[in-house]
Amino acid sequence: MLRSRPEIVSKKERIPVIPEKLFSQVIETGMPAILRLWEEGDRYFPKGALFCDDEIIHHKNVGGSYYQCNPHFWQCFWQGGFAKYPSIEIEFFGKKYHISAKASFDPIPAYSTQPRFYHLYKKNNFSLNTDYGYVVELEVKELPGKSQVLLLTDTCRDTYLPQRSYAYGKVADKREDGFIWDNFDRNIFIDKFYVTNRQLNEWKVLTNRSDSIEKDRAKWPHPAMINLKDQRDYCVYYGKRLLEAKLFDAATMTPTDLKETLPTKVYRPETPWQRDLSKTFLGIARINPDYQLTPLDCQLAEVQGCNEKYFSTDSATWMGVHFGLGFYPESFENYIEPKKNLKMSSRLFHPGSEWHELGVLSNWTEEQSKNLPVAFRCYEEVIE
Amino acid sequence: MIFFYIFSFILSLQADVPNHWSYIYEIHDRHEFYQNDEIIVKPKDSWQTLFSLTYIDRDITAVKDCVFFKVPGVDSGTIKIKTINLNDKCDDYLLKNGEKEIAAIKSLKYSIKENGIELTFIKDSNKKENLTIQLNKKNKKLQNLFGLSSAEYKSAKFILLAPKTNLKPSSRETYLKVGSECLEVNDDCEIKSPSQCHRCEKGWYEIPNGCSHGPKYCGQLSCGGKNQPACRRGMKWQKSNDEFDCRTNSTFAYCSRGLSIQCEGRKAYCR
Repeated sequence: MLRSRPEIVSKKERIPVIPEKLFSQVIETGMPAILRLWEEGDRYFPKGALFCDDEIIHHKNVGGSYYQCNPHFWQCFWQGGFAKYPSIEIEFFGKKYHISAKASFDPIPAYSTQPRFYHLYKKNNFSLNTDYGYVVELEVKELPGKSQVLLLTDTCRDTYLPQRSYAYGKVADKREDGFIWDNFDRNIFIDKFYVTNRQLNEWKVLTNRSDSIEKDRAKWPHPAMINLKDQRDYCVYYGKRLLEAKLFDAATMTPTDLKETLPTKVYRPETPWQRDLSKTFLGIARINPDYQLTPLDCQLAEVQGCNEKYFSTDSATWMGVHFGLGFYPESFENYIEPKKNLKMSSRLFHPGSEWHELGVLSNWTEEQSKNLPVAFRCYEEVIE
Repeated sequence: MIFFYIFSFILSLQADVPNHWSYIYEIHDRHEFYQNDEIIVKPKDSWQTLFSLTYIDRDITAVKDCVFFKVPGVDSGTIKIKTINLNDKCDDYLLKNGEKEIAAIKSLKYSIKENGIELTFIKDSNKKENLTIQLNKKNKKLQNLFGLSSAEYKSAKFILLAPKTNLKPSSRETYLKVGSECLEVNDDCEIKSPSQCHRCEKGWYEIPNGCSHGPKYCGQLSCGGKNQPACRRGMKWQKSNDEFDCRTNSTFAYCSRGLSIQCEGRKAYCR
C-alpha cells in the first residue's frame, strides 16, 4: 500500500520573482486604494487651494459627492492639482510601492490642451455589458517599463429600487388605494442626483458637439437645463430613460415597513422624511407665511429663501436618491397622467407653497425658460 | 503503472500560459459531452473545441481564446489556442492555425470550476504539465442589491484590460433593427432564448403580456398612449394567485387615463 508523501508547502508566501507577476500583484494590492480615490474623491479633497482651473473651479456650495467618480477630479489629482508628485503608496511584502496614473491619452481640446489621465469610453459594440466608463493606465514607480490599462465604471451614479409594491400620485380620499403597482422581476436603478452640466458636456464631447459645451467650470456641478427631447436623447445615449413619475414617487415615498414588500395598504407619505407634511417645516410655513427657515430645513428641501447648494446629500430618501422635494423643478415621463410631467416643488417657491408635497405634479411645455429652469435625471432597467 | 504515475507526479510542471490569460473573466463554448477530469480519448484524431476564454483588450473589444484539442489516435494530441472575436464561433476556426500550439500530447483532462480551469496533460516524453487559468471576475450572485449601482450590478467596479489584439470587429457584431424582438416570450411565458436586448442600439421596450418577463423589442416606444403598447404594472401588487391573461385579467398593465386595454393575443395595447 502506497501512502502519499505529505506535501511540503511553505506557509509563508514569497514575493514573486517574475517582474510581470510582481507588477500585477502590486496593482492588485493597490486597487482598493485606487478605487477609493475614484469613488470617494471628496475624501482626498485638499483644504487649501486647487491648482487645476481647467478641470475644477470649486465653490463651497458644492457638496463632496460631486467629486465621486468624477473624471475631472481624477485628471486634477494626477496632473498635480493637489500635490506636486501625486501617487498612491502601498505596502507589499514589507516594501513600499508608489502607483500613479499615466497621462497616456489625447487632450480633449474642449477642456484643456493637457494630455489626459483618462479616456472617455462609450460602448460602440455590444460585447461588453458596461455602457460607458473611463479608461485609465496605471504604473508603479519602483517597477518601471510596465503598465496596466483598466476601465473604471461609474458606480456612483445611480442606486437600486427595491422590488416591492408602490403607490403613485395623490388620492383625494386617504382611504382609497389609488394607483398601486409593483416592480417585482425588474431591476431598476435611478440616478441619485440631477444630470449635471459636467455630464452633459461629456455627452457632447462624445457626440462631436464640443463647441456647445458649458465652458464656465463653476457651473459644471449645476443641473443641466435642456429641452425635453434632449433630456430623453441624453438618457437613451447612455442606455437609460428619462425618469418616470411613478418611479420618482416610489423612490421618495418611504415604505411603512421595509421588510413587508407586499403590504396590505400602501401609504403615500407627504414628504420623504415624514409621513405627515403638517408636522414638517413645510406644513408650519403654510400656516405661518413668516416662518424663518433654518439650515436644517434647507438641507432637507432647498426652497425659496435657502442658499444654493449643489450635491447636498442631506436630502437622501429611503433608497438613496436626492432632491425629493425642493431644489429644482424636475421633468418626468408620466404614462399614467401624461400632462403631469413636472415636479414643481423647488427653490422657486415659498416654503408654504402647496407644490411642496410628494405626488403633486404640474405640466411642462417641454422647453426651458429663465423663469422655469427644469432639471432631469435618468433611470435604467437592466435585464438579467 | 503505479510507477508511471509516481514518475509523472514527480515531473509535474506548471506549463507556461499566455500572459493575457490573467485577464480572463468568463468561460464559453464548453464542450457538450466531456466531463470534468475525464481523460479525453475520443473521437480519435479529431479536432474538438474544449472551451473558450473571454477577456477584453485595450480597445475594449471582447475577444476569446478558443482552446482546441486534437484527440490522440494514430498521431499524438495537440492543444491549439486561437484568438477570435467574442461573437464569432470557435468551431469555424477548428482547422485554422492557432497562435499557440502544444504538440506531442499523450493524454489530457481538464476540469472547469467556478473560479477557473485546471488542465492537465502528459506529453509523449511522460512529462506531466498543468495549465491553471484563474477567472478574473468571481461569478458572484449578488444577494443584497440595496444601494447597489447599475454599473456594479452589470459588471464590476473596474475591468482589467488585456493588451491589444488588433482583431477587426466581427461581421456578426451588428445591432438589431428597431422593432425586432430581442427577448422572445411565448404564450406559456417561456423565454425562448437568452436576451439579445444588449444588441439594441437605442434601448428596448416591453409589451406586457401577463408573464413575469414580457416580450421585448428594440427601440424607443412610449407606452400607455393611444394605439401604443400598454405599460407594465406588475403581477404581484394584486396579491392574487390568478394567472394574468390579457382577456380575463389585464390588471398587469395600464393605459393613460381615458384609454382602455385591448388584447392582441396575450399582449396588451391601449385603444
